[in-house]
Amino acid sequence: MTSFAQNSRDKGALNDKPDWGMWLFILLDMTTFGLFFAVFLWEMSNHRDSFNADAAHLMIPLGLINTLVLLTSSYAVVLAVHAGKARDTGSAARHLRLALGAAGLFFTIKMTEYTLEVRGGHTLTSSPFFSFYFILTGIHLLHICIGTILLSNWRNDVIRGKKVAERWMESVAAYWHMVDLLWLVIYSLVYIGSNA
Amino acid sequence: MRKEQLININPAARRTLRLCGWFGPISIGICLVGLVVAGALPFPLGPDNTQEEVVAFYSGGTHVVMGLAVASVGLGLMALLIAGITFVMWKSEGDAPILTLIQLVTGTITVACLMFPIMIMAIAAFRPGRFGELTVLMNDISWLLFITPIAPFIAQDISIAIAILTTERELFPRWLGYFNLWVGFTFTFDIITYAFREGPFAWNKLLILWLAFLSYSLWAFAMGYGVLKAIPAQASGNYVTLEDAG
Repeated sequence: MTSFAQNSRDKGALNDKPDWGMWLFILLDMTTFGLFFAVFLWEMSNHRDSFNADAAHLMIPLGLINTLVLLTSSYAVVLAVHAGKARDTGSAARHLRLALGAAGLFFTIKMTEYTLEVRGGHTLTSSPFFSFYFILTGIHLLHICIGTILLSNWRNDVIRGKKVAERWMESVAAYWHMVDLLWLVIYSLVYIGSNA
Repeated sequence: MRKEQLININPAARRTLRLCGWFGPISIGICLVGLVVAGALPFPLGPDNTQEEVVAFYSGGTHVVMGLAVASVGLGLMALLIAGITFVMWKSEGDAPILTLIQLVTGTITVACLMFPIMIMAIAAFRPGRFGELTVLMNDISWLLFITPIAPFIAQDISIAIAILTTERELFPRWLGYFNLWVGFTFTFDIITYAFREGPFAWNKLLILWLAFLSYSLWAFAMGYGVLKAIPAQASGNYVTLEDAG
């Protein structure tokens, strides 16, 4: 059986129209996160004081660094798409390596943050705020891991000199930008909004 | 290759396959009616209900036990949709239908994991005069078994998605592949409900029960539609009938 990326690439070579199914996935995924955000805001309105007190324990600078890391990775993915369309494989591979490095850094910082929070006595069930904190950032981290697999797949194809369909590149890039956008909302709501 | 050549079956088999597709929405409909008649929906018992409330629900009368029995029948009939999906995937995959087999096994386990908890609820309502703690235990077992066995269903979704997005022979529409990935995602966090006996992540709340119920229902409708759409409008006429064979 051929790989997911290779088959998508082959099919993309025949048909480079936008992949509307991918946009459907992004819409549904963001709607699901939107549901989580709505419930989070509802719970915060009911437990304003405890949310404020718990949010004060979050490491906002680490969250800010992760925000900058993800924004950098998103920019690198944009440049990789441009390089891919221009058939500049060297530049595409370099930018994808940068994006993957940023994803790895994000993961490392997030795990460090989890470790510090747990050592500080904040766990999944210690309070309503930290339940949301661990669950929201946890499912976002799952998205980061899936995106890392997709970016790695793309980069492997570039390194091996295979033709990568524009539709495939744009779909992976759109997914990665969604992950970035979701993090911006999580950072704004959980780190900043709850602390305000 | 054209759809007529891929699904080259006799009229009786076409009718059976069409029935399999229709049993996606029909199963959900039967299950929904059963759960509403039983009173399990729209306000299901939660982990924070008292022993008296749990016993009172299961002592509610014949409509409770029969509603749950009907719901279990509805969920069991979902096996027909699994069979329909299996057949279409098998025709798409061709010689080495590994993803089809994964879908068949995981889909069958999922149907069992949905059906048995509802049957345990029905058994709890069968003899509600027992010690209240036992009824609470049966209620916990049934709801947690209903919500948390996510691995088979996620594996089923992913196998369907990979088959649709990678196969050359598109019998299912491409968007259905991405849709399956989303449905799988909506189940990923359901296991956290083990950690919560109250709050928004308890088993009966929006983000756990209702999101999963909605996405599973949409999945059953969408996959039923996919199976029906995969059946060509006209048979190719190249199938071998008993008369031809004789």
